[in-house]
Amino acid sequence: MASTEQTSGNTAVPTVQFPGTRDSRCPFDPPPHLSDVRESRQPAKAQTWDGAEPWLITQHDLACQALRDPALSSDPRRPGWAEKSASFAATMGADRNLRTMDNPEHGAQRRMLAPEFTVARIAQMRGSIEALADRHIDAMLQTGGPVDLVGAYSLPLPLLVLCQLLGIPESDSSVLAAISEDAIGDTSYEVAAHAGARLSEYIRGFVSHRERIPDESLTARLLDQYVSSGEMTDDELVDLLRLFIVAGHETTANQLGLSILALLSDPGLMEAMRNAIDGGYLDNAIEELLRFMSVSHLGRRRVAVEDTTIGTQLIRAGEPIIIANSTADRDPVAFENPDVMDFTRSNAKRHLAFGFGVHQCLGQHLSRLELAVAIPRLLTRIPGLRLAARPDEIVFKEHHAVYGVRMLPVAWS
Amino acid sequence: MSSSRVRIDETLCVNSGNCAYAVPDVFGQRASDGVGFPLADSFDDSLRRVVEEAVDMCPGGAIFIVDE
Repeated sequence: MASTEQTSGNTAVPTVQFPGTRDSRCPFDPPPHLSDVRESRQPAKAQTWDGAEPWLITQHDLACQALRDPALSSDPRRPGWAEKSASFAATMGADRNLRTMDNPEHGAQRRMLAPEFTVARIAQMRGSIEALADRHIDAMLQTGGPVDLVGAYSLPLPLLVLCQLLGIPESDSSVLAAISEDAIGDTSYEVAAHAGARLSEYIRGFVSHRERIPDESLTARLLDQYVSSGEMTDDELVDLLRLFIVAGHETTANQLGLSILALLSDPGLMEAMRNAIDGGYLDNAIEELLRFMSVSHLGRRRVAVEDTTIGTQLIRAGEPIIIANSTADRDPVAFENPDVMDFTRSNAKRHLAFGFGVHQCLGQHLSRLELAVAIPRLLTRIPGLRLAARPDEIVFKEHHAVYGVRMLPVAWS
Repeated sequence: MSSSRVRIDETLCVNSGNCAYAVPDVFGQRASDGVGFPLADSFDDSLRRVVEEAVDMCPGGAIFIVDE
């Protein structure tokens, strides 16, 4: 429910709960009340978990403008910062890495990492991703079903891809998944902080191990190219690996789970996906799924370090902002019939699921590749795949930093 | 005969690879640092619309179309 307040201008700015509650009949749609404030084409204000009242941007054009505005900082240490959740404040919000830095520091770290994440470099990982997908599908088929697709496929696949990239032993992956869940999930500050400490302890041990025994991993290369020369400190490497471990799998895993749920829930959509695969436009279908689910649903967070204008709204230095990219991805001004999934949508790529501006997701091409392998492989190898639960039995992680399903019971004939 | 080309301002490029991903016929991504670059001195008129989209999609606003 929106209330209004006067600001320094003459226009009343509506205030709404953020994120608020989704409509349980439309679990893939962002909370409906956020669409109401989008229509004004101006920033609104949000009431959040911590009592802060950040500006709230719900329009696609203003979101792009804000995400490119150098007056808006990504550094949580700046005055006025409003964090996504208690758990996030204890963990990811406390890290010093390219996600939480502004230029020029951010740019320096990004340039060190960019060669590892180019379109071409990531494409080289296709074979190993396919092998991991096949291994997990084999294991599923062996059981005969029913299985929880989250535990059997959509969570382990991105997690193990990440472990391979970083050179983390597979046997450590489930511990990391559990830590990650506490670190950014619906937990208290204390529980998350404890998880964060366990994560750092793990990483420090792992980095020492990698220093003694280098391999072909990204971690070994960073140690060799930047840490040994002093360009990156040990602490910076730890904070970077914390980011990669959490952000590097939670997002893709949840996107994958939701995508499969959507396909299994709607035969028309499943057929549209098969058409996309057969018709050579799978990549576009993946973009449309990214737009529709936009799983990083607690918004992109910024704080103004200088006065700036978004739309016609003056934002003062020290004021926090939420760029509600999930709601912006359903903006009818940007996307015709936005609440319908259309795998032939010509501008599907314009979504903000990976953000925009200098902080645009470093791992986006890896995420896309994982989705482009994992979805068709599953559908092709288990063509009779079906939901083994009623829609109302599916539990969604509404208050986690990354939206998704907790479990996804499936079976096949 | 007029032709169009793209220019990328490397100081604005954020090495996202969005352009190389969206229009691989026109943009490349440098292996050494992830910076985008034009693959040729001009691009075909038929690609104008997708190149304009790449301009809008560039997270750094680093791409410029130069009409000659």
